[in-house]
Amino acid sequence: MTSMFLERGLLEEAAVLLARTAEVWAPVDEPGLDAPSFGRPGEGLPLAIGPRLPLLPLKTLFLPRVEELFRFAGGAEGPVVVAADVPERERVVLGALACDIRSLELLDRVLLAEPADERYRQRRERTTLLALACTGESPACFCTSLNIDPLRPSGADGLLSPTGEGWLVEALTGKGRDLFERLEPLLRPATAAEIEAAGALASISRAAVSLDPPPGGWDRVWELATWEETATRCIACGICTVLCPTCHCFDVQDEKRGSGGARFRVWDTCMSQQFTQMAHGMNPRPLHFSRVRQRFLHKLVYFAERYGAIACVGCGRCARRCPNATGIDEIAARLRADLEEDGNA
Amino acid sequence: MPSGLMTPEPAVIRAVREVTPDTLLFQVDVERPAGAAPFDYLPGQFAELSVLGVGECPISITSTPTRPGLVEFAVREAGDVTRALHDLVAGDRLGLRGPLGNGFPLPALEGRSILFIAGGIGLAPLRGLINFVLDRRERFGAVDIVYGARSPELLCFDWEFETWAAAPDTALHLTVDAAAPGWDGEVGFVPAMVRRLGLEPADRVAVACGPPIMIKYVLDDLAAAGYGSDDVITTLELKMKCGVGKCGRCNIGPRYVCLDGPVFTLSQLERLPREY
Repeated sequence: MTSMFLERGLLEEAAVLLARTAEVWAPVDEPGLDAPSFGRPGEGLPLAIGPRLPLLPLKTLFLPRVEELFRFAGGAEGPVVVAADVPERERVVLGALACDIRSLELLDRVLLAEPADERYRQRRERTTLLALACTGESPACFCTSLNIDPLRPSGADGLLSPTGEGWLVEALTGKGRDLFERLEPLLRPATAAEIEAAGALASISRAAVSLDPPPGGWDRVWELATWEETATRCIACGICTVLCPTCHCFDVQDEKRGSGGARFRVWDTCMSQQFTQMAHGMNPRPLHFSRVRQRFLHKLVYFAERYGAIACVGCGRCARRCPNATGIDEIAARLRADLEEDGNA
Repeated sequence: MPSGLMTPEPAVIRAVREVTPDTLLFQVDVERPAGAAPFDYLPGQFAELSVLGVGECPISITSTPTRPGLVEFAVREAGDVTRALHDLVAGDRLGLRGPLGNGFPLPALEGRSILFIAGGIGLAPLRGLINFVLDRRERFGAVDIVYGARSPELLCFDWEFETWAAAPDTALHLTVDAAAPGWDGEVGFVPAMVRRLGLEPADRVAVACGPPIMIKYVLDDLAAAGYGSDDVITTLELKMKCGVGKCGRCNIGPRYVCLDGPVFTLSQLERLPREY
């Protein structure tokens, strides 16, 4: 198949063309924000297709921050459910990066496990992911340490590789081929030089980070004094859970409007004391450090044991945005060191 | 389950009965449209009960599938949703999602003698299993039921006691924490009564549910008395929202109480962090 090329100046036009048949989402730059956010191209904000991580991860498009589950209305015998599942339009995401795409594959393991979350499943099935080959933003990210290839993300339907004055485009799945057929009027065959340049793309060197257990395993990690020691600087703001592409915990609440209302789900955080606080007073994680421990062990140990992978994609958002600059990489290193020291004692 | 993982189905309350001053028994008709699968459940499973506009909370099923008809839930008033449930009366609707969770391991219990140990409202999930066992009496060995509460009026399901005590090869051992006027039965904590009875492990399985402090002593005592950790079963309560393993709230280490529990053997719990 001939390799095709999309010229930089045609990007906005490509987004408009795709928007005729689908809801298009892409990183856009909002005034005053230091990072792009996922938005709708063509609504006045400039596209930010590049290796800059959006502030909020891709999960926002699949497990929205607030989502109505159903509405209810007052009836003679009390409120009754009047609306439930709302089908979603077909969607295209332009310019997603490998770390965020990998996070969807991890979220799938939770949300598509039987009984599957129907709303999430519909969004996944109806979304075509067009990835941008990521040449790296900052040394704070470490996707390569988690076996993610930032230049050829697995899980994407199509790939844009930046080269020269645009992008070499490549379909990776049937969904991706359909998408490029729609873009055909804007594509031209790539030149040999462009193909060669795309093949020679290199990602900036990234931090080598290990989230793996020490040789003796994580067995005694729960008991370590490390938790009490490291938790002292955490202010329990929960921003790490908001920004983490793999954090998926949600709360379910009702909102009354007159005699009716709605039940919705909303992102929640395990850093909150309320998260596990039961109505009759008992709380299995009553102490701050026990909640810090839960967050990191969920990523490093519990998720790995249950779903077969560490729940981290190396995006570095937690470390960069934490008020106290605590990242999962630093915690894992400290735990490994303390376990080894403990073992040698 | 009807469409929508998080959408409750309507169920009509046919009767409400006082269990204790703070606990009501709801007898619920899970009406499903013609052709839909019936509400089939196991003792030990639970359901999410909704009052639309207030919220939803997990409540164990206290009836037994051996007695088809109404499904029963004992609800102790503790927070907003249980308070709203207490305001409902016969004829009202509530929202229901379920049955959820694993339920008791019935095949593993068959042929065994069973020591039931319960404290307070902890009898609710065990009552379904006790009545299941007594309805299938020939499939099980000796039954001992040790049950206690803080005071006589907090003993749940007192209308069952006579039937249980009179069932073949079944003994009911009641106790309350402190002496009270009109109470001529045993006085003392549940773990002490279990120790005093000295029921040998032999072919026996222990099934316990109660407040965390009671469970802690009971589990330790049973281990000391020689019960194998596969032969000690308990059912746990943690805060839940979705009830189907998505919202990430009820984990104990890598296990979710809503999916992998609420029923666990002691040997399963021994491999988990002590966060329950």
